Amino acid sequence: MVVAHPLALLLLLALPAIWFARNRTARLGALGLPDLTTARAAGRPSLTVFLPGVLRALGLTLAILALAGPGLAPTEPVYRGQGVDIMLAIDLSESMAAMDMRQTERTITRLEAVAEAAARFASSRPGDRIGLVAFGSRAYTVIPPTLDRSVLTQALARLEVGAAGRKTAMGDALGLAVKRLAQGPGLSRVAVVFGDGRSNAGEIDPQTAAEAAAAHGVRVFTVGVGGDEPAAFLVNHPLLGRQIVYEKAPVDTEALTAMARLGGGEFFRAEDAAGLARAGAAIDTLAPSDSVAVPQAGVSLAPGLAALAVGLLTSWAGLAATRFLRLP
Amino acid sequence: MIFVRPQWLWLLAAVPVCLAWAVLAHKRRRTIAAAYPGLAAAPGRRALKSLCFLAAICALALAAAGPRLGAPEQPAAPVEPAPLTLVIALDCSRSMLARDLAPDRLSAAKALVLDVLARLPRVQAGLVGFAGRAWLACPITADRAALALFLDATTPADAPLGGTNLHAALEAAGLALGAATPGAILLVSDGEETLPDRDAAPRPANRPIFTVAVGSALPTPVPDATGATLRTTTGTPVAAGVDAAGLAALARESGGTPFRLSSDAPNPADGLAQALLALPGPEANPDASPYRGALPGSDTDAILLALGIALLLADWVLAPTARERRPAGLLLALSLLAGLLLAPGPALAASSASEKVAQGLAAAALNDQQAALAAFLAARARDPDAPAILFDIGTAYYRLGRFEAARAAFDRAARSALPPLAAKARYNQGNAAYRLGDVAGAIAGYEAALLLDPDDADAKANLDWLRANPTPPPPAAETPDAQRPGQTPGDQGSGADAPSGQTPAAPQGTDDGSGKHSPDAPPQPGPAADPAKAQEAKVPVAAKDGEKNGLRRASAPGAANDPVLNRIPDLPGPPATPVYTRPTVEKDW
Repeated sequence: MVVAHPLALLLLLALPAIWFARNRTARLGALGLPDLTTARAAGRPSLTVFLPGVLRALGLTLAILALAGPGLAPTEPVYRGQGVDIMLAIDLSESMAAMDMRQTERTITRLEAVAEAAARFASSRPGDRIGLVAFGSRAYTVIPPTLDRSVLTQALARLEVGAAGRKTAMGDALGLAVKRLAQGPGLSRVAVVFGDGRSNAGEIDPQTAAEAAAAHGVRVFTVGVGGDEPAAFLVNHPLLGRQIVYEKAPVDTEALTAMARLGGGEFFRAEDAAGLARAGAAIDTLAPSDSVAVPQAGVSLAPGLAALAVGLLTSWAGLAATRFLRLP
Repeated sequence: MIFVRPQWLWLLAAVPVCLAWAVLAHKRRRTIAAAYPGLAAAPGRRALKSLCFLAAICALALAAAGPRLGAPEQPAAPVEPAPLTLVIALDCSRSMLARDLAPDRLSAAKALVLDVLARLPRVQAGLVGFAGRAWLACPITADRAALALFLDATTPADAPLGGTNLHAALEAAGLALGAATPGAILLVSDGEETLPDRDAAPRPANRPIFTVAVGSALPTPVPDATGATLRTTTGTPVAAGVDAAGLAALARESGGTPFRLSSDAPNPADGLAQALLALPGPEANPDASPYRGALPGSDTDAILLALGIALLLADWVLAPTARERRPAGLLLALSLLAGLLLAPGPALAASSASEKVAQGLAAAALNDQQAALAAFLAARARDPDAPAILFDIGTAYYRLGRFEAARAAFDRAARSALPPLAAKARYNQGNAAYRLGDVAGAIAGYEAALLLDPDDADAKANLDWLRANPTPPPPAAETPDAQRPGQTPGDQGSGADAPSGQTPAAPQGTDDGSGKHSPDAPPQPGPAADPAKAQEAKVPVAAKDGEKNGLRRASAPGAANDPVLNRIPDLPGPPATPVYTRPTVEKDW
């Protein structure tokens, strides 16, 4: 519910004042009577004498409410334009469980950081079709390019390390993303690969996939997730229980750079959550969208209120002309 | 003058009614006053009051109808109709495995869905699978290959709960459709619900449901997981029929059409595609267009309403007798009238200015620069010194190729704006000057922009380029259609997404040694090769029964026409650990 001119509601305060002023003049009386006994004998007038006054005040109130212009809030804007087709490819291999992504107060795993960054990236581009490929030993189309953001956010939240196998089929993932994008209707087609670069499984290698991407007009951006230092892994040891193990999980910068170069995009290194955010912002500017939000009009309640006021005032005029005629 | 809500014009019928009441009251007062001269009103006072009242009713009725002066605000270019959005709800209960269709009901239904989709090239589609519960198998997408992939992978084994629950299916389909207009639901099922009948299940509002009743009329035995006949707990074999009547009633109730898929009926694919195409598009629904004046309130409405209220108050305050209070009452009424009309003036102006700006932005979003310019100019008439509006006017002029006017508008905007907007205005002023061949002016504009915002990479790049080659652009480049503006006008008022919208126009980044000297090349990569061609994608047919498991290679759903890419197995769905147990239900079909 929105109100176009809330200041007009102040007029409602004027109504009691006018009522009071009008009653004072009306109380002066119109006709002098020599004897009041018959009038007194008739007793108190019935409540219906207030009906015309109430109708008239109600009609005025509704007219003032109509002037204030209430309306139902406009619905969500519609996005017009071709938009961009984007596939996010996210690594689910074991190395993504490394807890080396620093946020301001805590350290989270690479996968959690990537999921958060991807969700933020998607919400910053509401008019573009975004899909998701998850890969481990194999690559899976989780979501085709779609405008449905709630599905994407849910899928990102459900990603688990190791759900797709222990290895990394990065070439397959990029190829799958290219397949999903190949017939996209968008202004441009973009694949973003989040991973640590060491591809050791799959049908085709990352370079071949990047070349295929270029052949299909898909720009490839790669984001190297994680630092070079030995990273903490939370391990469930069968005897010792949950413990933290430090292990090196370096990012293969060269492979990712080569992929991005062959695919006509850029490589970004993200050693912490802020780095991921920077990479997302950079991709945002490098692959601009043409979709524009068209604000949708709400539904105005003013005509209905005005009509109701007209009805009430007409009935007041009828009553005031017949049963409740006032003199002079 | 036009009325945006002419259906409210019938309210004017209240005016003659009130006139009749006034005449009646006048006659009765005259009769009474003839008997009691002391009760006579002051001459003309009652007539004045009645006149005020009648004029007020007239104003209120007109305000409800929403009059608009001037040219009708119609878009010059027709709005491109949004294509239909279709959600397919596919029954995956065990009864769909009955083999009365070849090879079974589910496979026949999947083939039908693919057949229908192949006839609707522009339609975006999503997939909901359902049995005892419904799940979103594929969100709404334009990617037909992916949809075919997910359709192929939707089997009774995926269902989290056995049974048939049409209510859950329709609910999930409505959620998947969201706010998409126009949208429709295609329900493919054998229709026999296994759940106890729920009373009046809520359906997605305003969504036509097209139903396809799958299966032959005679009840057919249902196979279980091993292929043997499924039996109930008491041992009687389960035979699944088709609730064609129930599905037909569901379709007619929601405004859709029922269809039938069985061995003795003709293939419904063609009729179904025709029915879906015949759905009313957004043109038939005037509320869908942002142009039809459905904006909440407008200045003419508000002024008429204020006038009506002022006249009503004047009628109320005016005393009918001409006693000693006469000047006071009249003065009060007049001042009320004047105050009401003058007081909300600025507020009305500001709100209608932002309304016009919104209209202009909507028109600009539709690439209708002429309408956008008209709207922005109308906004400036209401709020002459707002820099954001001046900036928008400059952008509209720029897009129309009227660089002289654009330069002046950007200059005025930069004078009165705050730094972020002023920097952009100076930058665009530089762009406009460059387009006019005024290199010195362009350099001055970029320098001013850099002074205000030293981090503006675009201004810096353009300035460096101009200093390196201070030549005016070739006149051949002055084709207004090919030009891109310095900045999309979106959100100038709030300045929310400044950097992303900044697609510089003039000599941006062209001095990269590649020898290309076309400063006017749009910075985006070219559009998709041929949208029409791309949309007529071949939809592969569903895999044969018995090939459900294992990796699918080329020529399977989801295949691209690329031998390298087709080596990649197409695996749909979330890579999650599979669920090995599921709750049992009494009626698992």
